[in-house]
Amino acid sequence: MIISVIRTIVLYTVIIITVRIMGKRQISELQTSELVVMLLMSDIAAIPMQNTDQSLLSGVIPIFILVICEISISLIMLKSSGFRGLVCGRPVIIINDGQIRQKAMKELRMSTEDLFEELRQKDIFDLNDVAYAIVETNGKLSILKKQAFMPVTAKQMGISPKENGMQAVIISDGKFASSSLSFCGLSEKWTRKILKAEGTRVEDVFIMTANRSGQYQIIKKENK
Amino acid sequence: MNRIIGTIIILLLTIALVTTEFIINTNTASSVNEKIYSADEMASKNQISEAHKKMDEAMQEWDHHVQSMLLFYSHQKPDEIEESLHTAKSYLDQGEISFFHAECKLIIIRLKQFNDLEYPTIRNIL
Repeated sequence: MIISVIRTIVLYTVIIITVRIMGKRQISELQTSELVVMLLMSDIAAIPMQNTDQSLLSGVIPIFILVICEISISLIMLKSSGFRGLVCGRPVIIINDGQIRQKAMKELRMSTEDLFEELRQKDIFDLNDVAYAIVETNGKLSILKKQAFMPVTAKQMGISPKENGMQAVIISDGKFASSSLSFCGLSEKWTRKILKAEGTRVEDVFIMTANRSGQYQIIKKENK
Repeated sequence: MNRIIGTIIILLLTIALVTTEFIINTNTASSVNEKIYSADEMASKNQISEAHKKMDEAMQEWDHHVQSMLLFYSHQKPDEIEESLHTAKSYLDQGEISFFHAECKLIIIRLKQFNDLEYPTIRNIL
């Protein structure tokens, strides 16, 4: 059993390293080829984990080969859109200027129920609201609503709201997040000064967020 | 850029492992095969002490390389060959020459198969 434990740790490490090399992606955002590689990798890794008669390298080498193929293909796809189209397919317009393209839906084997389910998930309950709908290469549906159904923007209202920038967590559980501090252009000295003014210490802060304008919010730790 | 470097490292590592496997497997299987063949020949000519010597050499060489072989192969095949080597040796020790011949033939076939199965031929790939 100890062999299985060690093998599992080794293969887990290999999988983590290879997935990190392949890059960050949510499962729902994976391209078809990436999804296939992920499924294959999990399947290949499982064999030497369970069967100790199987050599460990017979699981590791195919995983390495899959990663090499996947990275090579993604590099070629960056250079050649034709190759990208061949491997990943192309986005398909299924609603064009408010008109459903039935032929395109048939080619995608997409039923009207599938279409309406996707629309409802995007808070669209009336087909008349949609100007364009595109099935992306990862299978997700992108929607552009008709102008009449778009929310009013500040620009349309003639208002110029002040840009405050993104709030970043600069203290998390009593510790400084140096990367967030530098992202906001703030310093530990500035933060300590603020905390002193608020009558608290870094160690007592659960979360402190701030933006580039110096606006901040502090949530103190609950008393034990 | 880091991703490309990582991929190149993995590629080099894979090439190194595959090449090492190929060299270790081919050399060991061929060398042990030759020794077993010689031991079999010597036993046929009633040169039993020389056959013992060759057999010991073959077993030593196998023991020396089997650990690295187990890194690459399903453990079943090297275990079968090792079992056959020990069986052949015990037949030779007991003077059961006809059984020894049969076991040597079995080892030679197993080693040949072991070696042949790793060549990237169409038959092996398919």
